[in-house]
Amino acid sequence: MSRPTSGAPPRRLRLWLIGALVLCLFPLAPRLVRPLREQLQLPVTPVDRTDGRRAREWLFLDSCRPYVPPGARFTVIADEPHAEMSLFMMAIGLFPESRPLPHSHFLVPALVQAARAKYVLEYRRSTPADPGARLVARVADGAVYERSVPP
Amino acid sequence: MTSLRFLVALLAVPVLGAGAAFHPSLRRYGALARAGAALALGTVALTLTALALTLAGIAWTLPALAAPPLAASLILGVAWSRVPAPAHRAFRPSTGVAAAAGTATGLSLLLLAWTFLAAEATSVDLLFFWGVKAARFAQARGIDTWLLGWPYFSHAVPEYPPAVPVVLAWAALAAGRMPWRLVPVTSLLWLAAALPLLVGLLRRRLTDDAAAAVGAFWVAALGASLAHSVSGGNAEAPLLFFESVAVAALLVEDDGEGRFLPALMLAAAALTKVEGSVAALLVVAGAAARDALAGRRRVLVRAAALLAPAVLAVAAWFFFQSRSGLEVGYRSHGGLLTLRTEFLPAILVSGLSALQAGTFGLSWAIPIVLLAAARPALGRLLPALALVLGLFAFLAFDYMHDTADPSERIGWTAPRVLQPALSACILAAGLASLGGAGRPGRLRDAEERPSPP
Repeated sequence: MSRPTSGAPPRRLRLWLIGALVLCLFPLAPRLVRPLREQLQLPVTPVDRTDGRRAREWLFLDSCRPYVPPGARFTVIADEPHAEMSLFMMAIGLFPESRPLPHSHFLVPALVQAARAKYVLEYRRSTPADPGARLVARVADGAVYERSVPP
Repeated sequence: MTSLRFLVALLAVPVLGAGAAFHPSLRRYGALARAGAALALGTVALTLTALALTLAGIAWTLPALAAPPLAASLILGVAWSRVPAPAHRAFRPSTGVAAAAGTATGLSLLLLAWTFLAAEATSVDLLFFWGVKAARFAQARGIDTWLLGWPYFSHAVPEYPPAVPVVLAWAALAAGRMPWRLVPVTSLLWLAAALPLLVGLLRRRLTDDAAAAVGAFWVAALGASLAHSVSGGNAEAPLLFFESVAVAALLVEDDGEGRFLPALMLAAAALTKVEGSVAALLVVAGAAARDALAGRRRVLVRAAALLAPAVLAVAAWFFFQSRSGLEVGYRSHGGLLTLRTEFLPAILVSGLSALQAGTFGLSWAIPIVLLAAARPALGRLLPALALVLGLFAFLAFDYMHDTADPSERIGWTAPRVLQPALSACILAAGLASLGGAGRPGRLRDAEERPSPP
């Protein structure tokens, strides 16, 4: 059975309602001062507006995907150690059908692991890590190389 | 199409747990509230099925994952639907309150959806481990135990309980792959699913107007907080859902009432994050203390029964770890009593700034002021207050184990981890200030109140 309320809401009830409406202003206010067109742009990566560096790294990995066959072992190399770590972490999820191997992990080199990789994704490097590797493709912020490794 | 299939699969999780909607304690609530309970049961059942199939060496398929939860739901639903239950009472807030609360609720959800869609609040942890596990589990058609045990996967906290990766993997299986940009948006579903249940529970102690007002404040505060703490796509939103409903259910329960809903929610919380187990302990301790203070009977037995599903859920995960050759249990941040008290000032300062919650602290300040003004019998609010105070204490204890100044870590973890505390604070304050748990003698079921003339 419903219990209809009568008359004006009591003071505390109004405070809760006003509070709820006031709280809405905090996420709303930034929207009112930024250009709408900019806000309506769909993101390219999941972290476009929360972590620009990760977004750029994500784009790099995503653009490498067509060049790494399913099941292939690959590693990611970057000059900047923190970038290399986050690239490795993201690559595990972004290449679920392949096998990423670390070139370093938490800034500790893992060269034995990386040596088993057939594909090398090089992020923002001017020269290839392995001069004997074959260039597969140049992508945004880097390149994909293929090299001979024991099976 | 990938995104659509992913979304449909996520929305189908309540179907897997539909039996919960027929539990006699839940039939007094509206359809959306009951769907929220079904979502919790679906999550728990799906997670346990995923563990069992992996242990049995059976590859995950949608039918294989869905069949056991559906069968269990069918059996439970049929059995429970035969048990008499209180009648559902239509939700009818007054026009003015409905307009104000509806505006705040709708605006909050809309703004949060926009924030998530625009990738303005995506947790980077989605890309580092939550989504990574889901994508790999879906690809492996099982929990990839090799990956979890790989030393170079240690960054992904492989010992974390599996509910969120399993639910995302279920949806990724249906979609064919992970729609990474969509996943953060799904955090909104958990917030939206919590609201009808919370309002339904609050209505047991409050008028429809009061429940609508507290519900609107809750969703506005937590919506702003989820965006501010950059929680899109990680486990914070589901954890918030489970813990909030558990707290609300315990705050409004009658003496001796069955505890199916809070027990289910605490089990789901324990399967979601390590903090979920901590919360389960705190909430159960709070409920037991409240019952003991009120002179209720069988306090310990009822507390044990409330905690048991959460304990069993964690035990199932630890059993899985053990059978899969993984390290069993959760990693600690150092020796239990190796505390660095010199970090306390930094913890206090950084912890206070973590209370901004995207509203310069108003989300905390308003309920605290209203709670204090109500001068409530605090004992009645212990299920919520134990979570609020206990989470602060737990976090301070955890941060004191750091080997370097924890300020930076507090900056990005505390705003997330404290969200269930904010939720519990709002629920307790709402009940206290609007008449449900004020001074002794005022705790009465709204349905038992005489109708106004």
